[in-house]
Amino acid sequence: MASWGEASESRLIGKRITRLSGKDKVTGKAKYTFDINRPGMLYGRILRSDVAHATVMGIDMSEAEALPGVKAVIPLIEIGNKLRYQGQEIAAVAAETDDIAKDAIRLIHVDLEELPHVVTEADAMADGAPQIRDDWASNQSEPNIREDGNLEAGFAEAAVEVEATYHTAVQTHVCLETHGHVAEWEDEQNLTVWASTQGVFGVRNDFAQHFELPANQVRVITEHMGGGFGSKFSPGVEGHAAAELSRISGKAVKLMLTRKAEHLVAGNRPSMTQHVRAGATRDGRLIAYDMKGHGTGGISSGAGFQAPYVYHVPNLRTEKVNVATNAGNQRAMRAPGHPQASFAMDSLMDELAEKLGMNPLEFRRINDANEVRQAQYTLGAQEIGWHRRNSVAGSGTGVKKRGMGLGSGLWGGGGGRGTEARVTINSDGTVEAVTGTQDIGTGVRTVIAIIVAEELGLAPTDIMVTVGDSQPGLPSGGSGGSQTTPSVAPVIKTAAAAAKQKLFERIAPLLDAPVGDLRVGTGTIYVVSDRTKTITWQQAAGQLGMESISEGGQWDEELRQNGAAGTQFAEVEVDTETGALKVIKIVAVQDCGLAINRLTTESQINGGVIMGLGQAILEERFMDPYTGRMLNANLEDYKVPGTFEIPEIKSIVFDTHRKVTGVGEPPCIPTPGAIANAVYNAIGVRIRELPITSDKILTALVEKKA
Amino acid sequence: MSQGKALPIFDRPICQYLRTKAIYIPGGNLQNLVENNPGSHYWCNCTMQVVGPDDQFVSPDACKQARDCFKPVGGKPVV
Repeated sequence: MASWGEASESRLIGKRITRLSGKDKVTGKAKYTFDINRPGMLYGRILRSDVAHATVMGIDMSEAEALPGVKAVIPLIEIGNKLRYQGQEIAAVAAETDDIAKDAIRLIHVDLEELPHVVTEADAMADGAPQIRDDWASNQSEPNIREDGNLEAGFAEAAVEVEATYHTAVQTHVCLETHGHVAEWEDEQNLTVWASTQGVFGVRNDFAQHFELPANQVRVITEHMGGGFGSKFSPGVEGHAAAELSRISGKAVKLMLTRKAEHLVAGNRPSMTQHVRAGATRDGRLIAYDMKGHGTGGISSGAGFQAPYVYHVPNLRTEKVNVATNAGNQRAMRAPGHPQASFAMDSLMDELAEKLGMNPLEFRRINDANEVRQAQYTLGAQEIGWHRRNSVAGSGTGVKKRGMGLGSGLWGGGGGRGTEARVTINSDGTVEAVTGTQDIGTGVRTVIAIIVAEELGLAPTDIMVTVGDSQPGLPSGGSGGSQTTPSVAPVIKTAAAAAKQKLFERIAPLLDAPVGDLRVGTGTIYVVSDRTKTITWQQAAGQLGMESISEGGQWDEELRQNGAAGTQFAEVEVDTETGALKVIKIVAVQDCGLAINRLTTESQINGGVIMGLGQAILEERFMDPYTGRMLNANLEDYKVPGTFEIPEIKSIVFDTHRKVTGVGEPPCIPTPGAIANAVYNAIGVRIRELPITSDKILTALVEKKA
Repeated sequence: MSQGKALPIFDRPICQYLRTKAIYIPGGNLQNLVENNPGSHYWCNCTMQVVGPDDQFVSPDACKQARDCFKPVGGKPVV
C-alpha cells in the first residue's frame, strides 16, 4: 500500500522549505499575465453598463471604429437583450495604445431603455418590487427546506432559547492581479492565451469550445497568478473578448480588468441573513434549531450557506432562499458559504452558552463530535490564554476593553482524479517534473519539487518543475475546493517512484545487487545490505547514456484524505469611546493532514486568517438603491486589511495523519466568528452583523446604555 | 492510463455549454450539472453570463432541448 512513510524518515516532507519562486517574485522576474507583452500587441478595453437594468435598443460603434489606432471593435451583447447590473459588458475595442482604447470606448454610443432595478435585498424582497428574474415567481428562488427530528419536541425539551438575526455583507474577491488575458492567434486554427486563471485546462477547453477549435490547438499559459480565490475558473466575457479582438485584428491583445470592473463583474461572496431560534438543554446539549435565511449573489443563484454549522442539532428546520438583485453575479469565494455559516453559528453558540451560564468552550465540547477539533480546543485555549478571558462579558475596566472568543470550521480538501504528470531523469542527473496544474500563489511548484526530491534523494532546487502550461498535454484540474495538493501530490509521488524504480533497474547490474536492495541516500544510491556499494546520483544517471527515463504517475486514494477541521481563538481590544476595534491576536489551529511544506502551509493559514479578518471588520460592498451603482468599487473605499489591521497570527499546523489534505480555504472560516465573540466578551454588547465597524460598536454601546 | 473523473451517468442530455464551478475542479460534484443545486452558480460558455444566447437564464432545469441554443451531450441516445 502506498504511503508517505514515517515522519522520522522524511528528509524534506513536512519541513519548512523556502518557496522556490520566492526570489523571482520579489525581484520581478516572475511573469504574471499582466506582465506579458507580445510583439505588436494591442490593448483591449470594455465598455460597461453604467445602469443596473436596461434593454439595449442600439449600439453604434462607427465613431470608435474610425478612431486612428483602433484595430477592432466588437459588440458583447445583442440588441434587444437586457443589461442586468452595473458593469455588464456592452462592447470591446482593441487599439494600439491603452489610451486610444479608452478614448474609443467613449465613442461607442448605446441606446438604452432603462428598467426599474433593485440592488438591495430589502428592496428586492419588498412587496411590489420590480421582478428582475422572469424564471422565478418573484425575486426569491424556491425555498430550500430541510427538516430533521421533531422541532416542536426539541423546543419543549429546551431549558434556554435564543432568537436572533445574523447578517454578513457581500464581499468581493479583490484579486491583487485583476482578471485578464493576453490572446494571440498563430494562425486561424491555433490560439495561445496567457491567462490569469485557476485552471489552465478548464480555460483551454472553454476557449476551444467557444471558438470551435480542437482542444489541442489552444494553448493556455499561467506562469504565475496573482490571486483568484474561486473567481478565475472560466475565461469570462473579457477572455472571449480578448481572443475575438485578436482574431479580428490579427494581433495579440491584452485585456486586463480595471480595479473598478473587478469589483463590479468578477464575482463576490454572497451576503447572508439568518433569522434563528435555537434551544439547548440545561446540561448543554443543542436540542432545537429553526432557521429562515436568505442571501444575494446578485443576478445569479448560489447564495448558499450551511445551517446549522459544524455542531449537531437533532431537531431542526431550515429554509433558505436566493434573492435576486441587479448586481454582478457571485462566484465561488474561498470556502463558499462557510465563513458566513460559521459566524452565525458560533455567535449563536456563545449566546446560548451565556444563557446557560456555561463557558462557551465547554458548551462546544459538549456539542462537537469532531475529535480533531476537540483536541484543537485544548491547544488553542492554551495558546491564547483562555483563562484570561472575561468571565462576565464587558467586565473589564478602562476605556479600552479586551475580550476573547472562538470560532470553528470544517472543510473537505481531499482531492480527486484527473491529474497526469511526468517525472524525467536525464543522463546528466537533471530531473524534470511536469504537470498541468497551476501555481495560484500557494506554492505548488515547491510542493512538487519537495516530493520528487524526497523520492530521489535530491534537493528541491535540483528539480525543474513545469506547471501552468497546457501544451505538454498533461492535464490537471482547476485549483479550487482546496483540491490542488491532494490531487497533484499523489500523482507526482508515484511518478517519481516509478522513475526511481526504472533507474534502479538500470544500475542494479552495475552495483551487483538486486533492484529491491537499492535505496536512495542524499545525492547517492546505495545497496542496503552493503553500504560500501554506493554511487553518486550523477554516476547513476550517467548510466543512461543518451537516454532519459520518463515516467507517469497515478492518483492514489491512500495518499490523501478528506476533512480539515479547524478552530481559531481571537483576542481583541475595543475602544469604548471611539468604537475602534483592534484585533490583537489570532490563534489558528488548522488540521492539515500531512503538510508537505510546513512553511507554505503556515502561509496559507496566515492568508486565510487575513481574509477572514477583512470579512469580519472591514469588507462590505455598498450599493446605492437609487442609482443602482456600487458606491465603493475601488480600494480606497472598499477596505481590505493592511499592516495596521493585521494582528499577531499564531498559525498552528495541526498534524493529524500522514495523508495529504488541502488547506487553501479552511483557515478563513472560523475567523469572523472568533472575532465577533471576542468583541462581545470585551464590551458585553453583541454585534450580529459583519463587518463589525466602529459605527456599529458605538451604536450598540449607546443602545445598551439607553 | 486514463485518470478522468468518475462521471455521473446522465440519464438525459445536458447542454454542453452549461457551466458551474464543480466541473472545473478535481472531485467536483458533476451531478450539479444534472440537478439544480441552489448553492451553485451557473453560467453559459457562449455568453459567459448567467443567461444564454437567447437572453434566458441558464441552469440544469432551464437548459432543455426546447431552447434553440441547447447543444446536447450525454444522456440516452435519441432514437
